This record gives sequence, structure tokens and C-alpha cells, in this order.
Amino acid sequence: MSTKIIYSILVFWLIAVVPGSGETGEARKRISDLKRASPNESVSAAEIQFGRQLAARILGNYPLYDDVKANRYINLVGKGVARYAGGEIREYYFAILDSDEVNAFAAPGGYVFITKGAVLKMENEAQLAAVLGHEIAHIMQRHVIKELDIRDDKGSAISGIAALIGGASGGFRETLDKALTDAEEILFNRGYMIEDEIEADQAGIILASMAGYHPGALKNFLTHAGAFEKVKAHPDGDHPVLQRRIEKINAVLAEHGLQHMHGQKIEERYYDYIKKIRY
Amino acid sequence: MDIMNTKPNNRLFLIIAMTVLAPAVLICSDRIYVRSAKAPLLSKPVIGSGALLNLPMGTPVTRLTEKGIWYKVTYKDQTGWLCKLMTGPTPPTPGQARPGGELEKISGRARKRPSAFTTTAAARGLMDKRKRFAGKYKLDFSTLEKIEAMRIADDEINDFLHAGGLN
Repeated sequence: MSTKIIYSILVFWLIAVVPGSGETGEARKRISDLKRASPNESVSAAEIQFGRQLAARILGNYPLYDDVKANRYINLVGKGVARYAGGEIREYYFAILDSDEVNAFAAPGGYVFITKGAVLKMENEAQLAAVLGHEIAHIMQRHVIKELDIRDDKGSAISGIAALIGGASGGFRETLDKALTDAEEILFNRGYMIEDEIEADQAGIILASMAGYHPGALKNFLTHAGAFEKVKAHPDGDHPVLQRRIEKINAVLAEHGLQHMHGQKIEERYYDYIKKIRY
Repeated sequence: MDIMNTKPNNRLFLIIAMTVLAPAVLICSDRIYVRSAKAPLLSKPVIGSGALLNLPMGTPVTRLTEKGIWYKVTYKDQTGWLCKLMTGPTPPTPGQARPGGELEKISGRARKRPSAFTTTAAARGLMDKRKRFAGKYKLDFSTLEKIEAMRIADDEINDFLHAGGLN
């Protein structure tokens, strides 16, 4: 066999094996990707539909704080942070709720709400970005959907929600209604599991820091204002949840070398946009 | 090993083995996808370290190793670090349309026939017809649609971030 033929085969082999190059391999990959993408689309649509129902319930409980300028500002901050979020949700919506309590809610599908009381407790834009990042993380990590634990026959929680949304019978409708009520219960009363809250803290800090905000902002807000979400009672009852979260945040800041990173805090712009908000 | 100095039978074996193995290696290549709108490929696994380039959403990259929240990846001739939060095992799905009216049908499933009171109240303008009770729960889709209608262009977000010294 001639040297040329052997070299030709070697070249073909290298082109096919080296990832990211080689048109044949790329084309094959794209076809398989397209096939795999379809189920994702349907579960994303179901997630949005479910989240939209839940968001409408949140708005049924809490009126919107009707200030276009303030709500636009919240959206600019939130969307700036959400640009660094992967996951299935592409469009996030942010709104201020007209309530004096210090709280924030995340509904699947990209709906984030923060109360007027929480906004008034904040000292700068970085704290707002960190809290919105925390809520975005709850959506990315599908904490509410996982907590509901509605699974399809293959054990997938999100596909279980998709089955409920797509179901036409009365049984499906009742189960969907119950799932929404349970989700509402998690947000308003029962709270997230502490592990989910800590995971959202970590992801929120990373997302906001990637956007250029001060990494210590979430810790500063929690220290100043206290927790802004309900957290499920934990067997480790002697160890207060807030203290545990702050300890974990300290660990995250140390692990990623963020303690001394100088991110933006942005106080002036924050007060310019929220100065009309009053208790 | 010098392939040219091997015996013809061995050479043939090597060629067949490589040809057969190539697709298998291709399938096993550890490919992940950029899922976020912004995804800087960083020179070090540290937030704030220099960005080698920004990877567009949907870019396939090859994962080499991982460290904490980071994947070490290659893209074309560049090797760098990508935050795990920005990636996924499959390409991002196309932009999802918000169902809007379609959802009304879903919520309408649980909706009871309007009572004489709600009908009269709506006629008088006392009650937003879209703000109603589904069973015992109050739903407010009209406000939700108002929130969804707030469109913000990418350029406006870019200007906002730039003005704040953000990324």
C-alpha cells in the first residue's frame, strides 16, 4: 500500500476525530442535536405555561406596584444578570409587588417578583442584582418543580408537569390545580428546602458577579434586612437558617476568591430610580 | 511507532481499526453547548479574569475537565474556562413564545360559569373581567400581560450596563 494512501486515511481519521472540526462530524452532530432539542421545547413550553399560571396567582395575591419607571429599572437590572443564566428559559420578566413585607418570588418559566418592602431595604443596585440573581437561580435549577415531585413514568419531574399541562381529562385538570396550589404553598408559606436556598444563593452571587456587581452584596443584604424568602423547617433546627446561609455565602466567596473582588455597588442610580417608592 | 515500517498486514489492521474507531470516538467526544446570552471564555477559572472571547449562544464546545463551577473547554483553537451555569448538554431551544391567550383556555378549565354578580360587576366596570377567581384562587392575567408587554431592547440593556460600569 502506498505511503500516500496511508497518509490520506490518517488525515481523514484526524479530521473525523478532532472535535469541533470536520464537516461530516459536525453535520451528523447537528442532526442528532435537532432530534434531541424537540422534547426540550415541549418541556420548556409546559414550564412556561405552569409558571404563568402561578405568576397570575401571585399577582392575584399581591398587587403590582404601578410605577413604570421603577419596574423598567428592575427589568434592566434583572435582564442584565439573566444574560449569564443558562438553562431552558430565555426570557425573564421582573416586577415590583405593592407589599411592605420583605419578600421575593420566582415562578417557573421566568417570572420574578420582588416586593416594595424588599426594594426599600436595599442599599444599592448590587443588592437588587444579587436578589434577582437568586430568584433567577431558583428558576434555572427548577426548585419549585422538583419540590412538587410530580414525575412521569420515566421519573422526570418537568415531563410530569408537561403531561399535566397537556392532559385533557378531569383527573389531569384536578392534579394540575393541586400542583399549582402546592407551588403557591411553597412560595407563600412552606418555603424552599434549605439546600435549594443555599444553591440559589451561590448561583445568584455568581450570576451577579459575572455581570460585574459587588460579590458581597447578597451577604450585605441578608445581614441588613434578614431573609427575604420562607425556608422550609429543617431538622437542623438549632442552627438558624439565616446564619447557615451567611456561613455558606462566606464559603462561596472564599472558594471563588470573591472576597476582595471590587464589583460595582451603584448607589446613586439605585436611589434615582426608587426614590419615589414609599411604604 | 513508525507506521511506514510496519508489515503490510499490520498496516492494514491499523487502518481498519482507525477507520472503525473514528465514529466511536466522535460519539464519545464530550460536547456541551453555550446556553446563556453572554458567555465569556475566561483565561482562568476565576470570575473577573480576562475573557479570551465571548461565545455566542448555541456554540458547541468540547469539555476537557472541570473544577468547581467551571468547565475547561476548547473552542476552535482557544482553550479556556466556562462557567457551568452558562452551559447545557444540548443546544438551547429556539425562543419560546409566551402562550398568552392559549393559557386562558387552560385557566378556563377550572373556571366556573360567571355568576350574575360578576357579570353585572364587569358590565358596570367594577371588576376587571380578567381578574377573577378560579375556584378559590384569585388570578390576575391582565396584570401579568402588562408585565410581559414591557419590551426592553438589547441595546438599551447594553447601554444600561455600560453606564454602570458593568459587563
